[in-house]
Amino acid sequence: MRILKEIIKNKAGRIALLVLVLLYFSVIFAPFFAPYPYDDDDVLHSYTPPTKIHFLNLKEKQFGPFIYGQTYEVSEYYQRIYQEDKSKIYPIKFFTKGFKYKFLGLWETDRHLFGVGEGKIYLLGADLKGRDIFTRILYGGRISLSIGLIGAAISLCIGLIIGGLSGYFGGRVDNITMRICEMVMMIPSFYLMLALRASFPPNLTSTQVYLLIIVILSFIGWASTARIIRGMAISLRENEYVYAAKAMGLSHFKIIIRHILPHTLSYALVAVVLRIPAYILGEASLSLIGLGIQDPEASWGNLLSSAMGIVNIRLFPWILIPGLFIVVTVVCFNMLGDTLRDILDPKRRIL
Amino acid sequence: MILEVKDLSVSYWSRAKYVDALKKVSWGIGEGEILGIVGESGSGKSTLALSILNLLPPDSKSQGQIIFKEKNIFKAGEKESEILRGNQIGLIFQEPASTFNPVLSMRYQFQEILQSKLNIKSKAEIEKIIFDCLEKARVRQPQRILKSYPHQLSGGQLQRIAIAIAIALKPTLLIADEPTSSLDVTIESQIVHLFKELRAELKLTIIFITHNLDLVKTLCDRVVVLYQGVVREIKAKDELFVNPEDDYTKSLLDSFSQLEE
Repeated sequence: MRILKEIIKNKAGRIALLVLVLLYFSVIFAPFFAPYPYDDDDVLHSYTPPTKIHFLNLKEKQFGPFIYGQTYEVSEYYQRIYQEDKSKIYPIKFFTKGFKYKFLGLWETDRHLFGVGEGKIYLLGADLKGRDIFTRILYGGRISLSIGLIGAAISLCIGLIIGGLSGYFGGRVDNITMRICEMVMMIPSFYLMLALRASFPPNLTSTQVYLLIIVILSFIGWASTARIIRGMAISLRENEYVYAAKAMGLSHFKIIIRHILPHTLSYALVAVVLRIPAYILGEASLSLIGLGIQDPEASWGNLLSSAMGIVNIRLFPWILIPGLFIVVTVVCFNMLGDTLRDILDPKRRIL
Repeated sequence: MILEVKDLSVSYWSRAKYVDALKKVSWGIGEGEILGIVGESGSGKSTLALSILNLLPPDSKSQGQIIFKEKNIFKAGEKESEILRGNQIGLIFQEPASTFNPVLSMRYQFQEILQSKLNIKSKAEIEKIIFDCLEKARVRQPQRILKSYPHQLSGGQLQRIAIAIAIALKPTLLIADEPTSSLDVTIESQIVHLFKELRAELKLTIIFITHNLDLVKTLCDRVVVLYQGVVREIKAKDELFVNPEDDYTKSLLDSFSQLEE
């Protein structure tokens, strides 16, 4: 609680926390915020630019947000040029009915934050198959953002156990585990990631791929956490209360769990928050080159994969928007991590 | 003899060679006795305490035997050693301020030891033992103290709690490794009295490690004089102060009596 208060006191921390909470919130309630299902394609709206939202309709003396319908004509280069069809007006309705979904997986409902009824609204444009990028960003965020948290949590657990054991016992145990750590850290992580992914069959279901990516990322990430924890455990095991616990005959396991690891937690927390971006980027890069989450499932990485060609970026710049979300998330996690580090640094409090 | 040390040698690995901390040390302690171990810094007193608990660091070498209740301590496995520590032999440390985990409350630390060492599950029973032992260790205001964290308590209070935790496991032998060096003089004499009372009440055998001859005089029955890892003299207290044989003991007693005058 005290930590939360201090984060809010810090300007960078406050902004980062706010943005992240907003992102996670909207991603958890993605079906509510999204106007369409994530795989709802519409060939008539392929690569539609972001829809303009109007507020004032002078002709019918209407006020309130609305959009016009859309038509297109094919240019001399066989490219669709979309235009507003001012004869059709679709007002944006809030808390309206749309497609059916299960709210938090609990009960079925069809309420959505907004909708336009008959028309089509593309807040951030559409992709090749005419799917709403805004919707897909929300759904993709479920995968991208959760992989960061889950992967970091798993590698923290592995790092705590291995680092704690290796630092506490020292000697041969320490030597062996640290050499393994170095071996994992030695290989450039991106190639290790590719090699690990390649060692599994390519035709997996989305859930399998999702789990596989988490396993791969935490397999790569535990080593650096373990090294940090090990260093702290070495200095902590020299504390007199650890000797006292030993002299009282507490088992090694209990000493590590109760008297060593809790003291490393504040530092480990900072290390983990600062490492979450690496997991998000790892998933994104795997999906970007088509080894991660597969279409029609969305993730921020594979949304960007359509933006790989220069022609696409030139003609339809809005397909780069998922990248913006990745950047914002990564920056926010880094800012939050830096703030946490400042707060938890005992030296700062004395000053 | 409840504990017998036979030809114990311990050496530590330091800068590419082994350095002897104890050389062929032999002594014993009978049941109900208070044995003083006297020696200056670096004479091997603490090494002795650690080797009795089989807690020597992994980079050390030891030879000889320590027989506790007819069993060689060095031959005991990890499980046996864990039972030995605490349940059979208690250890009191020099610095009460650092023997407790700074982030856990005293009640939690007391409970933790009792739960894992005595296998008591019922909360009420644990509470009863805690208050019972705190009373035995003459801790005042136990309710308030159990709620506190180590930094909120004074050295004397912490040392009493350490003693309470040690005796809660009902050990037969208590090793006190300079338990009063970091306390002021009035608290020191109170703690020394506490040891005397505990011996009478609980029939404890106590090994009292110190460099303070004054305490030896008031507390101990017999004295072992250690110097640079070698036993120089073992004698009953009264005899030692009147009639020392060894040169080192003489000079030690001389310096002590000079201070007294």
